[in-house]
Amino acid sequence: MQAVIDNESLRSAVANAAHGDEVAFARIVAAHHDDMARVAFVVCGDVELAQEAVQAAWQKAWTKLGSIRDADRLRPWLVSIAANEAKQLARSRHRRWIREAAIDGDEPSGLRVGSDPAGRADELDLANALAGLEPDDRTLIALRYAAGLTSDEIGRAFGMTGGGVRARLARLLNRLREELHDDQPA
Amino acid sequence: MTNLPDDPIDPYESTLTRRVGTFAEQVVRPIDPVAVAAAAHAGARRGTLAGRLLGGASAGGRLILVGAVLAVAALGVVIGAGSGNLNSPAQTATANVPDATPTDAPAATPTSGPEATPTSVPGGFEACTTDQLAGTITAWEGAAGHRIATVQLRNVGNIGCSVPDLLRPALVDTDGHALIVGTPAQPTSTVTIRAGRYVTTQVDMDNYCGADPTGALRIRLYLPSEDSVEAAPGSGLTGPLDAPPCNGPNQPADIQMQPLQP
Repeated sequence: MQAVIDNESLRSAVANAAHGDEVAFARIVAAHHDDMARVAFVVCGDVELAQEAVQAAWQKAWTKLGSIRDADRLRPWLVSIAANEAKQLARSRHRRWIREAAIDGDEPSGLRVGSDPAGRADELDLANALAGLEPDDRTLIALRYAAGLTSDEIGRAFGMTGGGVRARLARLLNRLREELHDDQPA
Repeated sequence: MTNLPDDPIDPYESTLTRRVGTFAEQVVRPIDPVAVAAAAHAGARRGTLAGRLLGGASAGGRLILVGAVLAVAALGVVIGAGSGNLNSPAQTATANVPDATPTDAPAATPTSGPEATPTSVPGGFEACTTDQLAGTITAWEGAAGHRIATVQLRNVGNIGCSVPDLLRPALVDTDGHALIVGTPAQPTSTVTIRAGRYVTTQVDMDNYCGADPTGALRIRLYLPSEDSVEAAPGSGLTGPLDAPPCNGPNQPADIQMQPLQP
């Protein structure tokens, strides 16, 4: 479970961490690590690689935290770094995504699937669908549906307009809805 | 679970958010944020490529995070759910950072965060700020695999102030990198320090399994505000201070302080 940190404490933590205070930085870690891990996992599909990406992201965040002028932008910034690190690590390791899980019927390294058959099927279906996406599209999905970023926040991270993000997400939604057989809108 | 942003694109988003959230939850593990922060700092100092900390290229970095996770698992700790308070009693004990390379320390200097403000402490005195305190290590002794530092905390301000009797200690190098970080303090009382006077404590540490320190070390004491005071070796100490010896690389390092006393 992820710690919750109020805005005032967050601003204080960012300011102190930017001056090299490890304890303040640890407060930021406690508040955001889980979100970053979720995003990295959706991008790369591998638990170990995702954890590695998040630690690399924290290292990068340590060196660049002073560039954050608005604490409200910290979370989008952090999850975007985690997404990029996951994408780069997966590429550098030539990792295939977790499509093998569905094809072979085996659990790939680091992938836990639920014990209940329906949940397992859901997870494998989603894993399969994500595996068929381009890395940038998985990143969009991760930032939007694992981290809950707005289209404008994603746009800033991607160098796109919010409208452009929405259009691309709309296409992805149609594709995933069809592949996952989620034909009935919630 | 992730909340859907307030700029909806399609009704299907709520279904997909739920599915992605459930799917992604499997990557969440208990962590020790202090150890993760220390590893990030250490990695940044080394200037290594991103990702090496847990990767095959760096056994040391992997040790940091694996150790952090194992420490949490061993203690059955789950980071303060919903508390927003890193100082939860369930917080893991220590972080051992193997790649530190301490260098010689100058004189003791209090460090201050940008928002250090005095707060009221029961007993009538304001809480000490870092500007009011100067730390000095007056003794550094070794015993049975431990190192014990005697630390003097002097009020260099013009008025008296109070501090909790127990503070969170850390062993640090001159760059501010924490080699061992203690548990969050659980003070039982406050100690008043009149202007010009000092209080002392002994800080006991063991099992540092990182790189050999090359210079004098410091003791950092965190105030409740999370600002800190660093104590460097006093003029009466000769020779570099040595870190506590490694008793077992698979065991966590430890650092604890005795209550401050006049």
